[in-house]
Amino acid sequence: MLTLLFLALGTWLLAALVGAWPSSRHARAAFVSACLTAAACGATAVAAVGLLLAPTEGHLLQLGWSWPLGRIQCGVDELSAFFLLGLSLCSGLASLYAIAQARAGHLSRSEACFFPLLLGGMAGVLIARDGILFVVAWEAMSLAGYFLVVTASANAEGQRAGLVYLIASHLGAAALVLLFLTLGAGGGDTSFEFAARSAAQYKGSFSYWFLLLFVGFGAKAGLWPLHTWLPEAHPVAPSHVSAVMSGVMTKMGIYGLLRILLFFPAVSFGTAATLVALGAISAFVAALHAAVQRDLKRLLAYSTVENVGLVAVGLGFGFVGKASDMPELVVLGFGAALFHVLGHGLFKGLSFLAAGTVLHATHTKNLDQLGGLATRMPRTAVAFLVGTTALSGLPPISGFVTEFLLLTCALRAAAATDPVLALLGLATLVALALTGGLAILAATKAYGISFLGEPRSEAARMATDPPALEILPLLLGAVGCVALGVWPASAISLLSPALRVLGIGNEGLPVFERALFSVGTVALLIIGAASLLWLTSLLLVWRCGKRYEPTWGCGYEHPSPRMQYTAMSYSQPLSVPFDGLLAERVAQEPVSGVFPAPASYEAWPNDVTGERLLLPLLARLRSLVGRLRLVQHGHLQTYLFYVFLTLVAALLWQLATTHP
Amino acid sequence: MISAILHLAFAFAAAPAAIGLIGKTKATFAGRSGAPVTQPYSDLWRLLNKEVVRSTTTSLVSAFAPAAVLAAIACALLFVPFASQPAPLGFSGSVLAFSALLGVARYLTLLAALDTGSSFPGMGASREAMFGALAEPAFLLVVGALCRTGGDFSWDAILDVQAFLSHGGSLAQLIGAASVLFLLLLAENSRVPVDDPATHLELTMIHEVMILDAAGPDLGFYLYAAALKLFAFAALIVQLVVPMHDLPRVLAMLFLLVGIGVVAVLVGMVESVMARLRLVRVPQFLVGISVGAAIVAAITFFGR
Repeated sequence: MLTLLFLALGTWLLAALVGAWPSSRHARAAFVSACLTAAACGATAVAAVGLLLAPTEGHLLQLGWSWPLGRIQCGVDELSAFFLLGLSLCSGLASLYAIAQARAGHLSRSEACFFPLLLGGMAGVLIARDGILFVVAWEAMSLAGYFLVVTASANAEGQRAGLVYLIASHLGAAALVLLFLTLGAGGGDTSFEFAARSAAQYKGSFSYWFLLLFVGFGAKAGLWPLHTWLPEAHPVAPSHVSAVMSGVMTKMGIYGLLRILLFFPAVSFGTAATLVALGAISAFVAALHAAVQRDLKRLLAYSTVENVGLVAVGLGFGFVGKASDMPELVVLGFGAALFHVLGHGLFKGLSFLAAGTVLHATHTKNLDQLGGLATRMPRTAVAFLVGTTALSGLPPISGFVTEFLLLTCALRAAAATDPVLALLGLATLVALALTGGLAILAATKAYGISFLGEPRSEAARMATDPPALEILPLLLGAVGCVALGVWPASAISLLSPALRVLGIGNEGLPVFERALFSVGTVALLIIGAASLLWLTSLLLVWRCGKRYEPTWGCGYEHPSPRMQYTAMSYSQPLSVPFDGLLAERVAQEPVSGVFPAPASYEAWPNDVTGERLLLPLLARLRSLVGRLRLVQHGHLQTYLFYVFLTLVAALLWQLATTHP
Repeated sequence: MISAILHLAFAFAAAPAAIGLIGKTKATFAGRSGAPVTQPYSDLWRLLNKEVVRSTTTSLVSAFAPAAVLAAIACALLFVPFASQPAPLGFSGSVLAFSALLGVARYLTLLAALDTGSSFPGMGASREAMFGALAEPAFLLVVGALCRTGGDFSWDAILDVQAFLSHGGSLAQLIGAASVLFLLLLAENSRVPVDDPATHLELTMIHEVMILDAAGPDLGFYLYAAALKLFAFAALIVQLVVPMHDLPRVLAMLFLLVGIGVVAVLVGMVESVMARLRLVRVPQFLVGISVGAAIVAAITFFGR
């Protein structure tokens, strides 16, 4: 199985080479590269399932490479295998989509080269068992993502998004380097084994570690308040890349967080509760922002932040359960988080691919230019409807499973005897309830404004479904989402090995299985009842007849598509009570006078976290660091003088230590 | 299976009468004789036998939504126990399934409203989406507080008054929860003061305007679903405050029906004596309900 995995890694590298090959027949090279990428995803899926189902006692591969800092260590345990499975499913869909793009000649050279590198980098992160290899793979992933973002669009907005992404990733990477250096301090060894040993003996405050972990991994995952780069960068990339970035790359942050936290023998209640709170805040703030977006892909990117927040809430509840000795909370929390890693990867991948199809068909992702696509692109419409239903966390699709598990966690916490835990549970309950309601608003907006009603532009009026090859990944994703929603218990055999790594034995599983079974029952129930009643309504219509008339315009004779509710007007009621968080910018030319001139009104959503929290913080940091400029003159002589001073200082130090 | 069918048959048979009773109450307050209580049955029968008219703009969503909305509400009813009978479907966490199914109904109604391509249903959808999101925390807070005392996360554990009190629950908690649920009933079922089901001015409506373009059986399904939803909320409220688990089955059912009738009359009275709130006030009303729910939660924590 490990061999298969390395074969896949090699194939990704090969695909990158083929994609980058400077040949004149680029279209063919891109097609071959995309096919190789998809094949590698398939191989990874097989290897991951094999590793999860076959009991192993930890594969570890050591390469005695003349690496400057020791040897390379790779390994796969069940946790890595589970994340690899999530990676391969979402990326598999995206690569199928890339094949369709290459077939149509739309896959650029940079996409053909950097997309497989992105996947390979992520797989490298998952199998690294050594701090240095981990950081190298992490950088490979981040940089591949950066190149995919900046080469996707030549305009200033795209370049700015790339820059923001680069800065955010490197702030995170700096924290990671510091993290692994601290973990390996005292041994000169960067392996995870040593890190786990040194962490096991650690008995100090946890806040230092948590800060590093949060900046390092939270930034990549997109946890509040470090999420602001994500809705800038993800929508700019080509759609199949956005799908992988949102569906998988954010989960690398979650994986890293989990991996490092597992080194420590116990995570304190405070840390775990902080994780729950940060996750809940992320989910709520992002759901609110998703609801007010006008750009379809940006809306989906904000929804990614929301869903990563939900994963963090699950992880937090798992650790809370461990800290306060509630085994059922542990399994439900961790189970919800891991299930969502798989479920969100699928439905977010599907949603972004559908958005990409819309973008190709209409050349816009502005919701206010769309509309009426359901009758023009029926197959895309069905797939996207599954995606948005999952986004809103409703049965019978996979999103509901996580929603149910997390709310159960919150209810259980609220019922605990410990008053602090109970309050945490109630507060999370409120946050999750609000998030769920706002997610429904965002999802109905994403689907309703773009796919329903009358087309708002000529491009939307002329849109048609893409060829079958491009629809295939959408339909596969939709089937996967429905299957996970209707029969979530099927995932238990894949989940339980990963849960074992998190310290949950077989005796803890029944409560989780029961919950999954209940969710499946609800899903089957609603599907059955809806089909039955639909048949009844068909019968009634067949008996009494059916007629088609224009929409009732309350007597107005000349309705136009421009009179429909727009994306911004749909979410406008939110801007009053949540003005403090949204800070909508408005430019308007109000109607005035007896013979009014043409009037206009335009509103843009705005992210307060970036503008009022992060930017001032960064500005202060810059002015602080600016003081260091005193020593930076740019004169060569001064620098030589610094070298001389350092040398003298080192000599004095040497003298002082050898001759006491 | 048989018990589930009987359970649903009971709800389907009784629900429209509650709507009729609200109308009768309002008529009495206004000094009219009003339509008979059975009027909604005739209305539904008429609608189900009419030709369906759909907009040329609509997609499959509009055709599918009415049936699915009714199905979602009917499924949600399966989690609600009636009188001394346990709910046909009950598991730990069934309260969450109940609220999720109401969410499905809302989601599909919103989509169907946007499907017409008219700004009137769009306006209603926009309001409903936001008000629904704001009402959700109050519901889960109350339920979370009650479940803490009841010991399990299903309606069966909450809705048995004697058992609830013997678990250490207080009467204040039950009455507080019932009041919050009554306010939620008004908000979630689009009654005054949040929405006015009687007016035909589209600018002021929420639920009615979303289904403005539905006709015939489609409209019938939506109205039936609305009646069932009101019935479910009323049944929850009655069972929170009236102990009926020790009564014989028939008598308990009768108690339940009378109780639901009282709730319907109360709704009618509220609608007769007060006007709709201005739209900008509605979010404040909903946040107020959440504060009420938080008070119920506080009683649960500190009231022993």
